[in-house]
Order: sequence, then structure tokens, then C-alpha cells
Amino acid sequence: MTSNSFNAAAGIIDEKKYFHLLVEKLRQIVVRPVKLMEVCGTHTMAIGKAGMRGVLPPEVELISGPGCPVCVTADSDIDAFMRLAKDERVILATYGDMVRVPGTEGSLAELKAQGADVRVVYSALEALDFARTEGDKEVVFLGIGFETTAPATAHAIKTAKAENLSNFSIYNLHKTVPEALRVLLEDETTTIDGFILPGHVSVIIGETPYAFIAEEYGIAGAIAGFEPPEIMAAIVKLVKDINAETPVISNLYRKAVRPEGNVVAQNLLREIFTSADADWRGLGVIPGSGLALSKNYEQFDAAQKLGIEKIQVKLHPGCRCGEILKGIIKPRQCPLFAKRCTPENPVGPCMVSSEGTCAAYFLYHGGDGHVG
Amino acid sequence: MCLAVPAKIVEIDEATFSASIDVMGNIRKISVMLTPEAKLGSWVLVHAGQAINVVSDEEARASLEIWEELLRDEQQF
Repeated sequence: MTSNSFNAAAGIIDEKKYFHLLVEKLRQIVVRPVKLMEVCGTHTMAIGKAGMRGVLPPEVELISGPGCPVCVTADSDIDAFMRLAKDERVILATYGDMVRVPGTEGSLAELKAQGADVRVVYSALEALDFARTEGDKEVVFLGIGFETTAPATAHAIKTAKAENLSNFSIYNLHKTVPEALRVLLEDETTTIDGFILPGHVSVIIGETPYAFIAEEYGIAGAIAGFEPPEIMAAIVKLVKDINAETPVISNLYRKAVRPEGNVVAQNLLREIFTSADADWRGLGVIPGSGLALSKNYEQFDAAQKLGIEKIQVKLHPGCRCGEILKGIIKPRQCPLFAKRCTPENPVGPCMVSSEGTCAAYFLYHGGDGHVG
Repeated sequence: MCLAVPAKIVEIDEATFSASIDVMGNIRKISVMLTPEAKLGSWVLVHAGQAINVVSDEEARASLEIWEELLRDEQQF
């Protein structure tokens, strides 16, 4: 259990005890094979780190979903922001997760070694500092992430406008989760009996945007925290709901997720962004799953400002990341996994990101891919 | 990417929505624009330099109650 867990710090919960009690309960109640998808890449990592697959009854299969923002970034977008990084007018500010993603001429880390001005930041507000102090350069922030991360980008854009910063813009890769879940539910090649829903996306959006999963598709969902007993509690709840044939969306992460979500953040997102189509690796273009800059803020769109066009490219031949993101195959079924594609020399985004499914499997289920 | 870390606010300037948090002994500056209810001493979930929610003892205890409920027999559930 992590030492900075709120539960542990507050001295409220003996997490280890509950984890084992919940595992025991799960073994008692499971009556048929169930496939549960953990949507969020951070859950994938937490499940791997805690060795949870090893303690689950054989009937319960966890499959990893499209909830790793780096992994779902389309090749055409990767190619476009690489071209941006090479522009001599540009300082490209990015979260650390993106710097090793391979492009046609290497990763951002490699471009940096060749002289491109690529800077890793912890928050979008840090990128604003570059724009304030280096007025002769265009500071482009790589805006990536789901609803958890988008408010930070929105805050930076709003601040840039208030300060009349004309040398700040974003290359926008933000995406929203519920629409991707609908695509998975509509896809006849996927079988999902229940969703472990992303805790920190839900902090922002609340419970309601997932209602269609139970109401329209009859599939259960449980919003979960990131400590092992929090994830195990979600699994127990899903199996109970599946057994009872009462699919509902449960919130098992109430200490952080209010039913209505974070309304301040939602209002900020609505002010800065507007719903748009977005291109997802593996899932294709999903209507309404992106966040484009709204009319009042479109001057902060780096692609428009710097004339960067998206070109259809195929960057990672042989990589089956797309099928892995839909839960159709496991990493070990990709012929590149742990052979040509490793965390040291990743071929595709699912191996690059620390929370990518392939990276998690390599790290926690053995590079030989025999487990999991 | 979507992991938020719980941390305690050790300094806050409500006028500018800026705060300092203690993350395992390291002091970091964050924005509390998204959590206007955050106060000195509040536990907040922090992601990408922003507090995204305030967490409370009361809500954490509610989690415990949910777990107790899940552990009960089917008939009682």
C-alpha cells in the first residue's frame, strides 16, 4: 500500500486487511466467467504493481482498456507534433510521458538531442512561464490527457488570454472517456461484462456521464480508487451486480468523486473547449470524443497558428497496440512484445507510456509474457 | 497520466488561488482554482499542478462502510 494514501495517512482504514477479505469474498461469490475492463491506464499499473491478477479466481479476467492518453494518440498526431518540435520558432513544452514516443525521425527526446527546444513540464502553468520570459519564441504546450488533465490546460489558456500572451498555444490532443466506452460497447469484436471506471476522470465528470452504460447496454460499471482494496472492492461489486443481473453504475470512490463531479472544472472546460471529433489509436475517429478550442480561444490553437496539417501516416508497422487498447488481444499475443518491443526500445505507444498496457505487462507479468 | 496524489495544504493564498502542499516532505506550489472550498490543512487530490478535489475523513469512512457492505452475505446485501 502506498505510504501517501489518504486512507492510511488519516489512520482510518487497515487496507491490507480489507484487501484480503475482499479477495476471499470474491472467491465465494463468483459463479461464471466474467471479463472486466479496467478503463484507466493508472488502474492497469496499480493492478500490475499489486499483483492482483495473481490472486483473482480463474473466472475473473481483467482486460485493459483505452485509458492511457499516450497510447491512444493517433500516428497522424504524433507525426504532427514532431514537425512542430522541429520548427525553430517553437519551444515545445510537454508532460514527460510523451518524450519517448517514436516518430518517423525519432522521439521528442532524440529531436531534443539534435537541438530542438523540447522541455518537460509538470503543469501547463509552467509552460506559461516560458511564454512570459521568452517572448521571441512560440511556446507550444502539448495538451494531452482525458478530463482529469484538460482543466489544467484550460486554466493555462484562460490565463494566457487574460495576460494577452500572444506567443502561447497548445497542440490539442485532449479526449473524453465516455464516448470511447460507447464505441467499445458497440464493437462486436469485444466482450465486456463490466467496467472498472476511472477514478480521477470521474472526480471531474461525476457519475452521470456513465449512466448510458447500464441503461442502454445493461452493463455494470464501478468508479474505483487506486489503492488495491479500492480496485478489489470494485471487482466484488461488479461481480455481485453481474450475478444479480442488476447492472448499475456504482461510485466506490466517494472520498474523491461527488455524484455531480467538479462543477467548477466542468464550467471551465465548457468555456474554453467545445466538443469535437477525435482520432483514437485502435478506435478510429469517435464523434464528440475530443475537446476543440471554442471560438473565443481558437487563437491558442498551435496547429492553426503555425500551419501544421495532419497527414495520414503509419508509424509503427507490426504494432498491435490498437487491438490491445480494445481488450481484443493481450500484449503477449503481439509478435513484437518483449522481442523487438521492450520498454528500453519501444516500437509502439502501449510500450512507451509508463501506464501503457504493454509496459505494465512487461514490468509486472514478466517480459516472457507467459503470465497474465 | 490520470493519477492524482492526495496532499495536505500547508499554505494558501485564497485571493490568487495559489497554495503550497506537502507531498511526503516536499513542498510544491499548486493552483486551487478548481477547489474554491480548499482551506489551510485541507487534504486535496492534486493532478498536473491543480487541486481537483478536497477529500475528507467523512468520505473516506464512507468507503469503509461500502466495503463492509460488500463483505456481507448475499441475503443481507
